[in-house]
Amino acid sequence: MNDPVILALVFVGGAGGSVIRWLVGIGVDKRYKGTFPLDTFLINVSGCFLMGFLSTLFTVDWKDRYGSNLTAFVLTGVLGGYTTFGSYQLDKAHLYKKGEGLVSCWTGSVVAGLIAAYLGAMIARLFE
Amino acid sequence: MLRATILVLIGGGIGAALRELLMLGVANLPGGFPMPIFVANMTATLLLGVFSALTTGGLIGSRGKLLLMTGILGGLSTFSSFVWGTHQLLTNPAEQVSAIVYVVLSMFGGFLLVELGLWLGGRFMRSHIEAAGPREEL
Repeated sequence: MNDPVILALVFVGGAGGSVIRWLVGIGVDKRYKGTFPLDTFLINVSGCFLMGFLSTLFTVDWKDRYGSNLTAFVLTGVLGGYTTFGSYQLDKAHLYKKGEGLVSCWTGSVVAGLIAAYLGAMIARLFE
Repeated sequence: MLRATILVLIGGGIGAALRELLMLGVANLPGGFPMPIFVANMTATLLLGVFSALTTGGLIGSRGKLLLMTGILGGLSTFSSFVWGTHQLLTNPAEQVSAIVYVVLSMFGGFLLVELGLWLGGRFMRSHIEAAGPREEL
């Protein structure tokens, strides 16, 4: 059982990914003052692109829950910590209250994320 | 800034480790439905709603927000695995139904759980204020 090693790697990766998310959020909020939650949107879509790219590059079997140390650190840790589902839903709740941009934010994030993941995977296949 | 960074670091690490424990302990449902990620995301959305209301109410300060919301819940929930899982299910014709159920349940479930969390948190804040009594009059 190498669970403690995997857990430690995910902890370190998740810590780093979360700090990057926090800093990117601060940076985007400084430059963009609109109502659309651009920070979470950009973070999540770029994370999806990297997820598609790296999973394909590492040829990760998505069904394999245990994975390797590398995938635990990079995919589950860094990218998992970097992207966030919670803020995506909370931003939407705020928009819902204001009654603006709800649909574009809610479905747009998922559609843009899927396209980004697909593109990432496609680009990774060029390296095979 | 250093203190804030440490709070996000520790919180994000804890949240991601909790998600990994879910991945190790909870199996996917038949048809490939990614149960561990679903549980992580739904738990995080509910608690994020609660903590958001408590932050608005002033019960959680800026440091608590960084540790609990930006850190632990941000680390626990994940958008990249959610979307990548959907993408993987969509590419397998036998699992496309799971993909659609997964996306719809995650989006609507998360929507309802945030609202539920905000409501529960708001309720708690009101009872908290009532319990605090006449101080509120000042």
